[in-house]
Amino acid sequence: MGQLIVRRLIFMIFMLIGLMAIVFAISNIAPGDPARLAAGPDATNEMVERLRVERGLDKPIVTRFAVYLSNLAAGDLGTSLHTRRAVVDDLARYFPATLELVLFSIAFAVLLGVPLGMAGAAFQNKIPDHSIRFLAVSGVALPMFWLGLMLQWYLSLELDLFPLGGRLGIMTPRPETVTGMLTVDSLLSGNFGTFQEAVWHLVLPSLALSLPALASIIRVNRAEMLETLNKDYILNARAQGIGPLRIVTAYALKNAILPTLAMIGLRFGWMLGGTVLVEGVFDYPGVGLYATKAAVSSDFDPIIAVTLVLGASFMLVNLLIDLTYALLDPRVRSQI
Amino acid sequence: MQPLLSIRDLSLEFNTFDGTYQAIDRVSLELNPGEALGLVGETGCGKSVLTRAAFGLVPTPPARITSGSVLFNGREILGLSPREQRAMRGRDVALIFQDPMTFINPVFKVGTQLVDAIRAQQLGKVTRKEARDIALNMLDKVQLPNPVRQFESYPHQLSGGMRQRVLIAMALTAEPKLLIADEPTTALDVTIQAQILDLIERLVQDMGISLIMISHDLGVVSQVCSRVAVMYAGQIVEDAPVAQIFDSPAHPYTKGLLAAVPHPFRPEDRLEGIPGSLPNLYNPHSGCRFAERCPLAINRCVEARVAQTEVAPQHMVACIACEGAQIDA
Repeated sequence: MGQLIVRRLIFMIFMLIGLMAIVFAISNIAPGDPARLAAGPDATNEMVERLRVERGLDKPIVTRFAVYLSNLAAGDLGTSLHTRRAVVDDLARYFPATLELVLFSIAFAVLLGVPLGMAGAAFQNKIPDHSIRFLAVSGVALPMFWLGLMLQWYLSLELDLFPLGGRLGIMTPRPETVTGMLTVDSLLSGNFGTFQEAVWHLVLPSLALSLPALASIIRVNRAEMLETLNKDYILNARAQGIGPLRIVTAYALKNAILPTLAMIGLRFGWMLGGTVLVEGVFDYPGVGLYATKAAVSSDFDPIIAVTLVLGASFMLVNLLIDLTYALLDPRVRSQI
Repeated sequence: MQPLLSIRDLSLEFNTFDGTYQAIDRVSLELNPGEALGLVGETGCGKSVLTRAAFGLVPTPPARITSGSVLFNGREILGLSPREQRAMRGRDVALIFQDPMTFINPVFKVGTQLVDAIRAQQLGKVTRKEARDIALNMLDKVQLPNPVRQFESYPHQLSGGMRQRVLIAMALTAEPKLLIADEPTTALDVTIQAQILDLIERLVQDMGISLIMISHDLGVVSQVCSRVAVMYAGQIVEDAPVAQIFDSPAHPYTKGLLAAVPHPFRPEDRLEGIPGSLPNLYNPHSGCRFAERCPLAINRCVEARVAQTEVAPQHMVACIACEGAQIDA
């Protein structure tokens, strides 16, 4: 088991280097002269050229990539042009916010999606199943940013139930930064008012971000449950007189959840990407919004760094999912 | 003597996309306490569906029971609520199935599944600790080697024969009145088959359990059962003591079935197959379903339902050719 984790982590480093190479290449092909942008609109050609040499932008792309990697190894991800801070510092500020949002969303999608999928299968072709399927189909069909706007308009502007955006109200005291996740930090400092407000700010963006994932988790879990409930071992369990609740929530679910887990891992990745849209709509200061702002100002170091961090999170989550597989399925466990 | 199980005129159909499939056609079957009945017929003839439907194990829909009644110990059990049916299963009637590979849940420990089954059978009146003791005791009775270790094992760590022993243990802990063994040895290799058959036979006798042994293997049935019912395409065509079936089969289908069994002392004989294949059970006629393949068939066979005739004591045949005939046993 430990060996597997180490092997996977080493493999991950190579995948990340590959990912960076691709993003690095794309950002260099993209139109726009980073040196000119960095120098500002009033700079003379001479100033631009000086900056180009200063930043090594005149070197061939392979050399620049090598320099980038060695800087990365030293913990330097470059400097952001639009925030004028080290990218590492920006990430430390924005990534916990995104992580908090995504964790909230995936938790919501899983904690609601798995039971709903289970209920849909248990009541196949009855009213609960039809309503759950309606929810699932709409969840897949509605685009995230549109859903975000509608939630803002109705639940925030019309009904005034939730804040329009951001992470906390302007007047709310910030808790001392430990993890950077406001809900965790406020609980750690015992500030329940701030905790409640942080949660309140998370509700709408989480809803927008999690609905597509919720929908696909419901669909996959329902289909897997239906198939599992037709298995021979379920018939045997029924023949022993074991009750339907235990059969559905244990005997069938533990088998059906395995393919659903794969879907959860995949959806986590989509959510990380979705933060770019949702954080924009809700003006939520995470890496998605940070990357969007960087992209419009051709600010490449942050874009590459954000891709790196999101890619690493995705890979880590999938490693976790694989380990959960082993935890749930003894046949997988005996193979590693 | 009151029969333990009495199925009368049971009919069952499946509503499918292609139409209504008449899987069971007015089947009647009786089983006395302590009796071992073999239910024989080829794959798809309705043996499993018949026994499962009687105890509410066939999902409805798509299945629908259209007529008949099932009395267990004199009590009608067809209209029981799912909760009442569940209370019967495992306690009054137990089932063991064909393939021990697929009938054990792969992701739970053997012990967990045994404890769950025992607690369900005792209607939750035993603690997990007590259930564990019962289970280990039972695993010992089914001669599973090293029961304490197997209790903590997962199914994939056990061989097919060991899994079938586990399933037998699971089925018999509550000492049910009736055991339905649905081809319990088909998926096992021959040496293990004999062991498992011996085990079932011994446990059933020791505990005084009545047995319905479903099989398409006449050899298995002759070893364990005292009576045989032969099913064809959802109908029971012949029902007789086991010696009668082998010595003087009356129904042409039974004769064909016996002719298709390899004979160890006459290996040079060609095996006789039955020409044709199973009839289409969407909108079948009301007569004998074997008529299309029967060498003795006449027009009257397919015109109306063929009644059972008693050709010898306790030997019932549903065949027009046998009407009025008497067989000397």
